Amino acid sequence: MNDKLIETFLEEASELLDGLEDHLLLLEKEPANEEAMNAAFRALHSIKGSASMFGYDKAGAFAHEVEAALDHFRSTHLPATGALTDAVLRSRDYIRYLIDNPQAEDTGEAKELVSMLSSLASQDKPNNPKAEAGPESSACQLPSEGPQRTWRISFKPSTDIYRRGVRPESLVRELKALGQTSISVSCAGVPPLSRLDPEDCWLTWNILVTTSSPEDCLRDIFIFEEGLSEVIIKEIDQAEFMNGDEVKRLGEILSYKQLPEDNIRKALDKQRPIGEILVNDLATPAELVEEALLEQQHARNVIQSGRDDAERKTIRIRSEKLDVLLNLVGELVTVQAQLSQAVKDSPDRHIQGITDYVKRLASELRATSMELRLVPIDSMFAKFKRLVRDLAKTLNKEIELRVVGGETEIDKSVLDTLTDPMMHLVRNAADHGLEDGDERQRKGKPRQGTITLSAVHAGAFVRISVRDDGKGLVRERILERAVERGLVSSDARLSDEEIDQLIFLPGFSTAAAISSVSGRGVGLDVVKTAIKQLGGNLTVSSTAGGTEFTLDIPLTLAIIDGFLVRSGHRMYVIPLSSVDSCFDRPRPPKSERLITRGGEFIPYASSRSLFGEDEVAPDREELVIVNIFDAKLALGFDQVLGGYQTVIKPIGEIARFVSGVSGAAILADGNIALILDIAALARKIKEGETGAHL
Amino acid sequence: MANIEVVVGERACIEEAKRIKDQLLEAFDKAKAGDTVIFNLDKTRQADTSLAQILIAAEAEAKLRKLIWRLKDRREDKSLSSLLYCDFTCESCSVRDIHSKIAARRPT
Repeated sequence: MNDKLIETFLEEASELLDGLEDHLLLLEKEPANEEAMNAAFRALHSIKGSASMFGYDKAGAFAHEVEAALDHFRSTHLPATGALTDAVLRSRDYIRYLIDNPQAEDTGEAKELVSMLSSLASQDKPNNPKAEAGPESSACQLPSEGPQRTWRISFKPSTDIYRRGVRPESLVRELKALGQTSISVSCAGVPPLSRLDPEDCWLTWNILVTTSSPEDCLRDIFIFEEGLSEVIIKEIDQAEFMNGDEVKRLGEILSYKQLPEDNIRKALDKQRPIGEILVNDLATPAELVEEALLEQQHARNVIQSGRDDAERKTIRIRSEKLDVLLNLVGELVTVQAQLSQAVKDSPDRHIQGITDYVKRLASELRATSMELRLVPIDSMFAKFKRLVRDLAKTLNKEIELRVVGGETEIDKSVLDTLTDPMMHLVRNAADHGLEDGDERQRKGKPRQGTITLSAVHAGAFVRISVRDDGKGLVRERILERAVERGLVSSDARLSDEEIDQLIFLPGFSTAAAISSVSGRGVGLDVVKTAIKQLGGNLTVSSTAGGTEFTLDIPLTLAIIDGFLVRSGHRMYVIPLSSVDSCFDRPRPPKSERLITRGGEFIPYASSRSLFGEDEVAPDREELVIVNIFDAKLALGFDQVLGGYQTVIKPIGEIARFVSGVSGAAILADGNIALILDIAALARKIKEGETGAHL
Repeated sequence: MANIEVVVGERACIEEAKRIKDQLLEAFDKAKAGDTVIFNLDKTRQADTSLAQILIAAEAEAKLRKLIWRLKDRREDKSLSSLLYCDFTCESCSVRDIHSKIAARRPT
């Protein structure tokens, strides 16, 4: 089998399994949510089909068993029990295991899960005879390959259908699942309330369905209504109501139905709704016009659905290919800058025009290729729903996971690197942060604890936080453990903030026992290092009402819109999105640490004091005010050179020794500029370590 | 002109249909011509086609008794068309006159 096809299957299977997990978690919360049930079923069905097709027979066969059990609940409209979602979630994990390990020996787990699922299905023997048809009866539910045909279905339930325990709407819903439908309901038989027996059904459904499913699938839906309700299924010619991709006008549809053209023309002449004229004035049977109206509506739906599909078309590309593209775009941006520099003083206006055009194209290309790599952070947050659910069960706590700002986009490579550190923080919040239900109740809190994941854009950064409403950091315990481990001396007097920082020391843990959840002592230092390697920062704040870990992560690791500045012979790039304003002023004395601007005090540092510079300083200084989330910082340079799009080149090990620098950029003239890490600079200034020189 | 309100509970399915009908008839009996009967579905979270039938029948009954019929549904998910899976928005399903129904659809 073609490796690329297998790769595609593995990616799709992974997405389907993730989707299945989401639907099951939703079902667990809303057991009667039929949409979630149908979606879970569809995901399982697709996994089963493609696994078998690609030779993952064990996974395919097992998925079939799970699908059958799930379908029992789905087709009988029974709410999903906790035991069911639990078993299907476990089964979903096992399918993933079988896909990852197609040659795996049978461990008995499959058998155990299948028997668990069968027993769940047999516990619920509903009155509805449909249930006894078994899972195979619903194989039609998924659209099959093949030509689309259109069917007209008239369904007039027997008056006693409700009393027989059958819901007519469930049959209509099943029909809707087969394809594109247009439905009208005739209510003409419903008597006024005083004469209505509400357990009688007086409704009639007229349905047009365009589907690739065979006729048997349509008939199967009504199989248990045979001889009881009135069901007429008839194929109709699509040409009756559609003209290629166009909706036929009502007159055209009626003309197809062999209504005299003369009558149609007369009706059109009257300039009133044609249907009204035909029925009122020209004695056309109302039912015929009704039929035509339904067909016209259906044609609109079918065409719109085709357009929607076309608009939704996407392709799947390996992220490595995007990396290559971005690298090439990065090189192009550098070469374009060199080109601009080379022709800057050229008298040839034609060359200058072309260079400007190249610059604009490179800029657009860069923006587009950057966007290709952005993914909503929700794709990572979604993974934690299952984690939190499982943690809640393991820890015997009630935990709700809330997500805020899931639509915030971030570079995919950043996101991939973030998953493990985030998982660690979520585990910590569940295990150490949240109290158990009884303790919370004693404290007057709701029994259910909450972990909130949030994300928000702030300039060139994304701020992600993991917050719990638990007991907060127990500082006495942290200090005690730090002293025990010799990390601080027993007579040390530390502020609350300093104590909080101890949790980031290597090997630090206050957990009383090692559990499967956390407490192995391999923890927050690893998380902090991972975040630093991303050019980000991890902080913690804690009160008696809970703990919040905040991660400030650069939006991208590849290309930035920068602001080029100079001090002496050194060039620096400030991420443009951080720049608030700039202005020049006489050079201040070296001791200045604050400036006032618009009545606001802003911390100040000169790049010369931050990074050193041998050249003599000019008399004037250019100040750049930068935003760091909700604060500002003023940085002094010799000269502001303006906007500059640049490719970030990692500086590797050097970065460890130079705080405040996140990377380097190659300038048009081949020189190097340092890319400033504004958040790190702010910390550096706050800590007063401005003596560090390059 | 008085307003008489009938508030329906969380479920309005076939099992509750008889009770809902009785509630409504009681309200209709209390009302005088020109009064408004408000059918409040704000609290209702589950409903099926039997409720749709009751809505149609009640509107017809209101018309016979010269009452004004109002539906109150904050969630707006219990319209006749959504309860019945109907793709057409008719002025009212209780308008038996097929001609009005056709006119309401404004064909092209």
